Amino acid sequence: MKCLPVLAVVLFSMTTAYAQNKDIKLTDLKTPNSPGFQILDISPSSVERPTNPQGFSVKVLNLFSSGNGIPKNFSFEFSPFWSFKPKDETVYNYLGIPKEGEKLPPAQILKAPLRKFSISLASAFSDSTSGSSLKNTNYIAVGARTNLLTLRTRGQVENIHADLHNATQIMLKKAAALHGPGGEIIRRPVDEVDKLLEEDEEYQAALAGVQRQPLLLLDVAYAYSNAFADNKYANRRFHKSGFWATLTANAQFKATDHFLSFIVLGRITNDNVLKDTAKLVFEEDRAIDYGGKLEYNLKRFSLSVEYVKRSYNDISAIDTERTVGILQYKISNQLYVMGTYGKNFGNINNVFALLGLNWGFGSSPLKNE
Amino acid sequence: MERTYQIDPSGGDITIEVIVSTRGIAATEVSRRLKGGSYVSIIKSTEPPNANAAGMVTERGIGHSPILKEGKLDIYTIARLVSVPDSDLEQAFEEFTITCILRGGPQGAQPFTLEAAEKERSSSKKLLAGNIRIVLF
Repeated sequence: MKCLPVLAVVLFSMTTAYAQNKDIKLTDLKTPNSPGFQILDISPSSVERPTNPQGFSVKVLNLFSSGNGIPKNFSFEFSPFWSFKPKDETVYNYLGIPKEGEKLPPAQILKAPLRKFSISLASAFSDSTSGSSLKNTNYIAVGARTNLLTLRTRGQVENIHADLHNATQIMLKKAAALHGPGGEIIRRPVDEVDKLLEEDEEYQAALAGVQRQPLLLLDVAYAYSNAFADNKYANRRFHKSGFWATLTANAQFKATDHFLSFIVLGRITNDNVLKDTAKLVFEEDRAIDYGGKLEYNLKRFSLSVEYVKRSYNDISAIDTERTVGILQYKISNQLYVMGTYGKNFGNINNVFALLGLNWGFGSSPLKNE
Repeated sequence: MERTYQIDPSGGDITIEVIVSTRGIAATEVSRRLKGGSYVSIIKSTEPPNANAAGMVTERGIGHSPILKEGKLDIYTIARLVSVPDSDLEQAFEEFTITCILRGGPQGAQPFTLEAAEKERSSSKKLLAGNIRIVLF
């Protein structure tokens, strides 16, 4: 019975996702950091910076199975809000700021968590015992997250208003109508306008200003996972569930591209801990994770260090911690190099190292969203 | 594609309202062409009153019926998607709508909604544009 909610979410997600995107594009693939992946402790980052959820995204796609097992190593995340194709969207609602001289309408304050709400599903197959993962076991998790609070200072909101005003004025100027010989109106082709805007430094500065990080962000997430030994449904057991909150404080160095974030994480998890390795006896124990991440961004570089301590309620002897450093470098708009190195949770095979290229992801990995 | 809106030559003021729905930064310009003349920009959403970055134009007058008769209107909105994940650009283009409402003619309030053929986007998929043209007869 415990699997019914998971199954329902899987079916709903897949149906909605299929309806939204019949073709999965390479540009939808991205290193996963969704709650579904984070609860499995295999995400590149355990302390994730909040971002705008995508309508639908598939990450680390490897849905192939041998034909009689559960699909392995995949992750996808989708945001139901955008499935309803809202007809009254404005940039103010999207950014969560009031119009100039107005207050943010209460309806929009209530809608904001729905707008940022996303559901994720992830699977990770472990072919060796590592950290809290056991050999030949497929872990499947379902998760959800949203943003509860986005706080900007009055000065930040005024700056965004000024940047929005500049940007729109430049847009209309670049798209200015030309008059034909008969007085008819001729518009500049949209690609030509796009090129002119790309080359306009004042416009680009205004766009960057609009996307500046808020002072504070409070995100919450929940995830639940099951383990399937030998990738068989009959061998399923509860693996882990958790609820967590992340509070992000951002600081932009004045008039520079330097950008610093400090993210605090608090998480309560129910963990099915292996008590007897020989007899494979598991026992549920509650654990509290706490820690943080310091992230520094400078143009093409993003450097971060995160630390998370996990304390168990009943058995302090198995308390553990994770310390990971992450470096990202943007080679071009379509190509990123990402390196992760550190120590994962657990005492066995706990070296955490990833080095990879992300390609075709637009500019999102390093952009302040 | 041109639409039509009837004008009563002995009628009063004609007003326009433009409602834009997009996640992007948007700006709208309304241009008017009187009989025998050239197009002239008469309203910009970026200018007071109610200057905004959503491309909205609150209801305001565009002229008296007698002078508008046999004229034309051009409503143009340009929008730039910001912070929209690449995977959502397709959907954001679908969501981009413009509704222009004319009031004051014998037909009363008449909405004109952007048709698929009236909108376009750049190769980057981040710059969107919509253009509604209305003949006043």
